[in-house]
Amino acid sequence: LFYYVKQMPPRGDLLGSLEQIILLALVQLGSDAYGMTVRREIEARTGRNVSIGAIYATLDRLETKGYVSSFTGDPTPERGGRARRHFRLEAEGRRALRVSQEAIRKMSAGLGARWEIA
Amino acid sequence: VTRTIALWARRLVSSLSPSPVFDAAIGDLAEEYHLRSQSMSHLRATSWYWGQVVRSLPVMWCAAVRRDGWLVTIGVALLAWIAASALEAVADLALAAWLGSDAPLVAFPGFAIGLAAMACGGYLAGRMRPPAVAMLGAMVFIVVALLMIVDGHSAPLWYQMGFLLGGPLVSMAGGTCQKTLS
Repeated sequence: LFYYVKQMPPRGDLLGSLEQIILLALVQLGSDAYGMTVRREIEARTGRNVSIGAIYATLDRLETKGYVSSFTGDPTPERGGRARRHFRLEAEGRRALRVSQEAIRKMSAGLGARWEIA
Repeated sequence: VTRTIALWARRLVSSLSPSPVFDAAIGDLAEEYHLRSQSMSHLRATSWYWGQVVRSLPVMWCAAVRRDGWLVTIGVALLAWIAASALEAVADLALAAWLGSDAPLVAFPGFAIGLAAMACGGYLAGRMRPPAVAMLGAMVFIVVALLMIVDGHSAPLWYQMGFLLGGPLVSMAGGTCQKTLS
């Protein structure tokens, strides 16, 4: 029972598309994940030009949910003296990402020819 | 010229950023602008920067309000407005007593006192909850616009337009001032 409760997502645990994309970018970037690199990674891989505000608003929400954690780096002159805020995917976030990916996989299974967009 | 425009964009986003949480976002924008201005023209880098600023500010503001709670943010903005109105009323009374006039101060002194009081309101809102500054500005704009529609003949047009545009601007300036000082 403990195992199932642990594996069971809480209510409203399914991630939105941008949340999934950002969490996947964190996985791709590893220790180099901060706002700018996340934005560039998404643009390079999907062609989607997401604003830095949307990235931070989503990361902020994910951090509140406990899916990611952040720590502050050192300030640099080219950043106008502002520090980088690095993000790291937490175990809860990894689990939520897996659940969401699984839901998409299950929903798209067996679609076959109907999957073709007219 | 483009460098000056970029500098203004940077100042704008720094002063209007609703929460210290988003300071890193401003740093990221500065870093990417720095990289882009090395690989492309300053004009293109600057237009990219402005695009990011325009798209990011509303999103960051909504996120900051959601983080603090909508009701709290509206409550703080209302409180700041009440405090600003009280300050304005006291200053108006003091000035009227000093001038020895019973007539309401619709002319320039009243206008200047109103704007100064609203700047103090913005400062207070920024001190209590940074996202409440923009909320206060929006509230001032909406209420003055409604008053202009309902009771448009009670004051000269310059006075009404001054409050419609100047009210939100000075409240934001008050919030920016608080942010800079702190």
